[in-house]
Amino acid sequence: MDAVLPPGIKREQFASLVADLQKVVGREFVFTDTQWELPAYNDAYLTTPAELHQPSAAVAPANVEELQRVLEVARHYKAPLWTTSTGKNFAYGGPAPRKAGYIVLDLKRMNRILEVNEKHGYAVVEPGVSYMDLYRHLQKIGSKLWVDCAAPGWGGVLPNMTEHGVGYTPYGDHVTMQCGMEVMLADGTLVQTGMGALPGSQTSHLYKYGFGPSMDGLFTQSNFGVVTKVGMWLMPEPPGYRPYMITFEKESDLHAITEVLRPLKVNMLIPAVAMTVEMLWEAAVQVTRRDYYTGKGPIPDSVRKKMRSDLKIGAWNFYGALYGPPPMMDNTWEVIRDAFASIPGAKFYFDEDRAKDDVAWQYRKKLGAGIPNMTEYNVMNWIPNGAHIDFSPISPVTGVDATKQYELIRDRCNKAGFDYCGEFAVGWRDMHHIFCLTFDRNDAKEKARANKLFGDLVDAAAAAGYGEYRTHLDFMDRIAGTYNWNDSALLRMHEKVKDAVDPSGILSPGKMGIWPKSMRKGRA
Amino acid sequence: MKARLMKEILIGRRTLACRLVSAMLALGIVGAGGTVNAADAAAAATPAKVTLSPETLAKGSELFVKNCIMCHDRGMEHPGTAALTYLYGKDKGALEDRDNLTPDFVRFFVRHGRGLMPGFRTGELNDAELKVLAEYLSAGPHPAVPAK
Ligand SMILES: Cc1cc2nc3c(=O)[nH]c(=O)nc-3n(C[C@H](O)[C@H](O)[C@H](O)COP(=O)(O)OP(=O)(O)OC[C@H]3O[C@@H](n4cnc5c(N)ncnc54)[C@H](O)[C@@H]3O)c2cc1C
Ligand code: HEC
Repeated sequence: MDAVLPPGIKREQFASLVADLQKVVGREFVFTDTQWELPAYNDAYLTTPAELHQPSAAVAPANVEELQRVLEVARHYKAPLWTTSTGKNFAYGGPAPRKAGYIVLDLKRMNRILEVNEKHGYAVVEPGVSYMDLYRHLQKIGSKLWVDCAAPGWGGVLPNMTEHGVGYTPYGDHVTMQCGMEVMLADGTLVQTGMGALPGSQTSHLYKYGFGPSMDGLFTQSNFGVVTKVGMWLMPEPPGYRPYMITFEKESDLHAITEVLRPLKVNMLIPAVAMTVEMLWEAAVQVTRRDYYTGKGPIPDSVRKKMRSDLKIGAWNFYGALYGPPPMMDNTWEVIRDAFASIPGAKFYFDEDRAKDDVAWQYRKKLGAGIPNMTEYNVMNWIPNGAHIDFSPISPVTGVDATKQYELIRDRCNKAGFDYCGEFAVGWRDMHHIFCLTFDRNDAKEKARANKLFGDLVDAAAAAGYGEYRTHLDFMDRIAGTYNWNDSALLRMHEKVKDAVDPSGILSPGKMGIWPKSMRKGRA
Repeated sequence: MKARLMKEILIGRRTLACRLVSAMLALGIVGAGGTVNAADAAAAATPAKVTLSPETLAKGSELFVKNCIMCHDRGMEHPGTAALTYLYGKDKGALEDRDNLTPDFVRFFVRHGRGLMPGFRTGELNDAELKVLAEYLSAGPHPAVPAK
């Protein structure tokens, strides 16, 4: 692949820019080799040509002092940076920049676990700390605190939170569990938000809101600053943990499942995110498509039936867990069981009812207790050279909405020749519908079809009043464009903030559709 | 000749029968974005086995646990092991059980990825570390690591 330059920067300027970055972080932490170094800074799961996201370089500062000087260099040359921390944002773009030529700001080397507070139940981490790192550290020091991890255990505690990511214990809503933030602005100023702004504060990681406007939200899913440290509340290991699975026979049961679930969630009888998983997801993590079907297009119903009986799964599979002292779990279970038993054909399983080599059950069981693992990546083993992007709209928790969303996506997906593979994750009051669009990354035509399907889904969902909670680089502008109430007032406000806090436009231009003034071509 | 050598180094003699990978290599579709072709990796290959110091082995094992084991540990719940089992057959999926890996082969895949395995960034795993890790895997098979 040919080398590219940052937008608006000439070859000679680039050479001196690289030299200046080398002066800051050392030669070995500026990467420009297009054969061996930069390919891994692109996204392995693109549906668009790799050239569109090829960085010109990457730079990896070791600490905030170096970061500060990297920003100074970037401001001097007006060179766009693209922040990444653990850099595993796969399905949404990996470490790749929004546009070709950006310099990836790789914070993986800033990977210290600064504090674990056993008494109050929190940890303070730098950007490069993965779930696996934190988990191993807690094990090593004999901590009784749990991590709450996203399904991919190599993801980062800090960046997954800033992306509004989700995990599977009662602490799964990561933004809610974040308390205290340190952020570097584009001009190099280091800011402590909340209680941390008080010198000598004892409560930086205990009380979220501080004094005055709460700023933390400005730095999540955003390009207004570089987050350098966060406090995350950690759940103390409960006296009991009993994960369960409920399978349902019919595709149309989705309506009833969702209706039964809502009061259980709202009343907090199901404390962790409640997962209703479609059968293909369950199958894909443990068998391959060619084990069952070698024809083209979506898998026929007769084959699906066979898979269900082989794998002892339902058309829908509900995962939840009980946490607490055994008598409490026993009582709660009665309520949950009775509620779901109202759906004909519901079958109930605990750990002892599932096989030791049941891959789907075993990893969900781990996730419910915050044990990081990578099993869910198996969904891509469904087809050879599988890769995927996630389409993730939000809806109310009702049977009507669940079914409407499911049909909206399933029908378009089947028409485009893909298998529907999805799950519904119910949080406090919302439902994330995660559709895992799996394609062959070596098949250009299939990638183009996946890309087209995704765009159609964005429009169809928006027309039905559903918006996405997060997205892949290639769809940021399109989705930002659907949040256009009152002449795009929200986007225009984002742009005002962007221009105020990052006037040189160096931080992740285009992240979530927010462009600095200099790059807002065709827009005011 | 060159193509045969390339295949032997990249795939390993014992698994040469695996037609799927051979076909992929022949088509030049390995690697993220196909930025380095397989021949480049093969050109620099050094298939001869070396004996490693206990320090290198320990460091290599540590790097493997930190970066790779979550996908390549023994067991089909690990996506790397599952994918390689689908390619090469039962009990041939775990990297630490392999006796036919070479440093250049490992280096190529770690930097470029393949299938669902994305490449590893120099910022997270530097060249010196990768060298040790690649030597460690090439000195396999290694017995199971107890705790992770
Ligand atoms: C099979 C599969 C399953 C998945 N399951 C889940 C899941 O259960 N839950 C979930 O949440 N996600 C899931 N994902 C999506 C994604 O892989 C994870 O969210 C992952 O944690 C994101 O990568 P990361 O943590 O390494 O973040 P990074 O890649 O480091 O960062 C992600 C983004 O955050 C921003 N960012 C990073 N660092 C900073 C910073 N310091 N300051 C400001 N902004 C910053 C950047 O825009 C960056 O692009 C899944 C993906 C796959 C492929
Ligand atoms: C996200 C999971 C994941 C991680 C982490 C991972 N791999 Fe892989 N790896 C895979 C998968 C999946 C394959 C098979 C790719 C395919 O389908 O062609 C693979 C294939 C390989 C191969 C090719 C083996 C062969 O003979 O074909 C090598 C070598 C390899 N990985 C090394 C590593 C090393 C070293 C690390 C750690 C630095 C690592 N991998 C980390 C998933 C992973």
